[in-house]
Amino acid sequence: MKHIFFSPALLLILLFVGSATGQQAEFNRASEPVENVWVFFTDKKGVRFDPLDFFHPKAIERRLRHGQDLMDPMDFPVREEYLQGVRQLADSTDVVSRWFNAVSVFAHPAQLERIAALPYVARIQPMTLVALPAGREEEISLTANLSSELQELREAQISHMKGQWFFEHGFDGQGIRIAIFDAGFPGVDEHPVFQHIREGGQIVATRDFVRRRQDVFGKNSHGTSVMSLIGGMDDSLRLGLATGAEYLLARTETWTEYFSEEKYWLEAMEWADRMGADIINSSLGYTYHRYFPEEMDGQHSLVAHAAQKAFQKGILVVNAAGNEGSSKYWGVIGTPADVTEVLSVGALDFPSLIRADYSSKGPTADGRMKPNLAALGTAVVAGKNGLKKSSGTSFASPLLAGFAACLWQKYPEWTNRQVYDAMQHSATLYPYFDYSHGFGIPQANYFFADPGNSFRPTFDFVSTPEGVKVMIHIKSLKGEEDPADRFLFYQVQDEKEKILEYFVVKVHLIEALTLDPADFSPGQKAVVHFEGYTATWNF
Amino acid sequence: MRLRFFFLLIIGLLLTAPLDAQEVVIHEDLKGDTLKPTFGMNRKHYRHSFLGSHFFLGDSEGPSGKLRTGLSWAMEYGIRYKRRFNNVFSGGIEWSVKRLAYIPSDWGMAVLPYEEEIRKERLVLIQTGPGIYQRINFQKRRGDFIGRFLDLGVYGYWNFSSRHVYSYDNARDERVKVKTSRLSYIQPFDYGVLARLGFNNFVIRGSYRFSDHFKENSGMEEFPRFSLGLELGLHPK
Repeated sequence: MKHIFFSPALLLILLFVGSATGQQAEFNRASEPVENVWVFFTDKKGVRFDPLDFFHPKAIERRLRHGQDLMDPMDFPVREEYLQGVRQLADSTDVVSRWFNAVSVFAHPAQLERIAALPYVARIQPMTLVALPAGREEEISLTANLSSELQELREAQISHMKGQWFFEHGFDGQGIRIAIFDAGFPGVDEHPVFQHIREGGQIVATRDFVRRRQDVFGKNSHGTSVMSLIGGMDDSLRLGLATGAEYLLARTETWTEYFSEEKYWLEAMEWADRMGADIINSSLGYTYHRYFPEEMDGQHSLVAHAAQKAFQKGILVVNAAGNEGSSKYWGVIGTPADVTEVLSVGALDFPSLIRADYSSKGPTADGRMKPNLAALGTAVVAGKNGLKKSSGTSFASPLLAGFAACLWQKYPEWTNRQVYDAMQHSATLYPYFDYSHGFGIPQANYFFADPGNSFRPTFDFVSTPEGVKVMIHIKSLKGEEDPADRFLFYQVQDEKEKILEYFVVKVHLIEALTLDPADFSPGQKAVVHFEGYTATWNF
Repeated sequence: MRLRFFFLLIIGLLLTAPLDAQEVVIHEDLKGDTLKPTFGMNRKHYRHSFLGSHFFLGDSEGPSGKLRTGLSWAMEYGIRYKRRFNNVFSGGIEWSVKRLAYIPSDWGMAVLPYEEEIRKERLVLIQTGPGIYQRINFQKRRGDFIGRFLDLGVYGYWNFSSRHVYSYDNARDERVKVKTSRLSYIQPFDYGVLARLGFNNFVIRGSYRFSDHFKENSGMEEFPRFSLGLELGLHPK
């Protein structure tokens, strides 16, 4: 050690002095990289807007159906002088948002300082989001005919929602326009699963927001799989319910541009609104790249605000809950699934129809009920070529988007709020709710005169010296005398009906459950659901 | 008869076994959910393990010494603690165990009885010790994930095991392997500086060793001081 003079202690001191003064550290600003930010403007004074010229007739029809003013300032264009002013100071700009009266800007910190000083700039917000497609890497390509197990799965995709009630009564989503936001749709232009959609001219418009072009039939096949679960048909057998719906396909996601998805998602949302979308399916969630679980309150992200605005405009937004359910650090739903107005969909395992372990759970950070509903998270879907089995909440969400389209076709006078509420009311667990399954799986037969809709009590509470027993009715089991392998849902609520704990149990005996009063505080209650019937015991 | 006995035994066991009325499939307890966690990738405290491997760059400090690049390498396993100061700065300590294998192309440390040719020769050091580092994160606004970062730090290791291994073919054409442990010419401690450039789990790491491996009077030519390699952060999901 002669050749170099070095003191580790000196280095340590230097390092930690640096840390202590870190908050005030000033970098060489010229060397700082260009940032991508949103620049929000103060007003839209003096702009001209003609809704009849701007909107697709379907968008006008939807607004009128929802009793909305066609001259909503939110839809007015951003002032061109403001855009020019920012463009002169910035490196470049790209996405312009009418809804948020904002523009996406690339600029150095010094440039941003000058932009912020403009009198018509309200605020600047960094853009740092990465969307995670809520699909999981558990795909098995099916090159040959479907095995009996997979045929069963394909049938269950429809039957677990009792979807056959829709198409047997002639409802296939016709007249309903569905926008799908995803990472690409390769094969949709030639795959046999979409032949009926192509022949019917049901793909109304496409837009690749990443590459700024119309062709979306390339890149990641996640969108192809998702679309097949909304309206795909394999050899006259349905993969999804809305085979007659119209489609708007938007590519909003890319893996190469690290923090870009938010602006594309937002831009696609405004495009879908303008093009008359009734339903938007987004199988994407924004989570840990930008946020912490405690921020999943439906307020923190710009996409959450965009989803709220879409709902105000009469669009039903269906979004995957996310695949972070088994994550030690996340676990809860992402955004925009955290927005009250978004129909958030969790994933169920096949064949149990119980929450898949990856499916993100509620509640939201501010304690709201999420997810709203659940559907099968494992499904037979279209890949680039042929069919494949995939899983993830990505695939639960489109199944319910297709359901919503059929329901809306049946009740065309309904608003998005009515469709949202009706789907929840029709669900298997309703009025029971838990943070894994929401209200359960929406049931199409609920909207028809099906004798199976009337539920009778399926169990009783019986007070005994050992506790309160939940006794299953043999007669209520629809002809089956053995309750084995049926699931009983129960939860503990406080006096304000806040859920403290919830359970799903597999029932093996008629005497399904014993609730020990010693485990409950006065005012608490046990809410129990079994086979369509919900009852409460107050302690 | 025997079959019947076993059949009856199984039936008997099934009948006497306690039969649960229910099997809990899902249980979620929300009572503790109001507590804000302090442990996470971008929270106040974080801890994770890591695996690393690196190669030595350059030649030994002497006329004869050359390492066989690509075969001389180190592998490392460690545990790292990170304390977050703000979204840009954090710092921490780590403890790792490292195995360094130096394979010279022409070294000649081996003592051979006759004129045999050395077939293989290597010097293996196993060391353990702490490191301390300062992290600068390049993504000021990020959620609960590691992000892109630069670490600068120092380390100090104790060489708790040293071994010189070589082999040669003797006069009877038999392969002879010679192992010598607890080498008296190896310094007990190593120290140096390190830098890491990280992209979430994936890290490029470089280090410079200030200390010598060999004692001053050993006459050994010092091995290269620079090393460059990769590291994989093992972050539990």
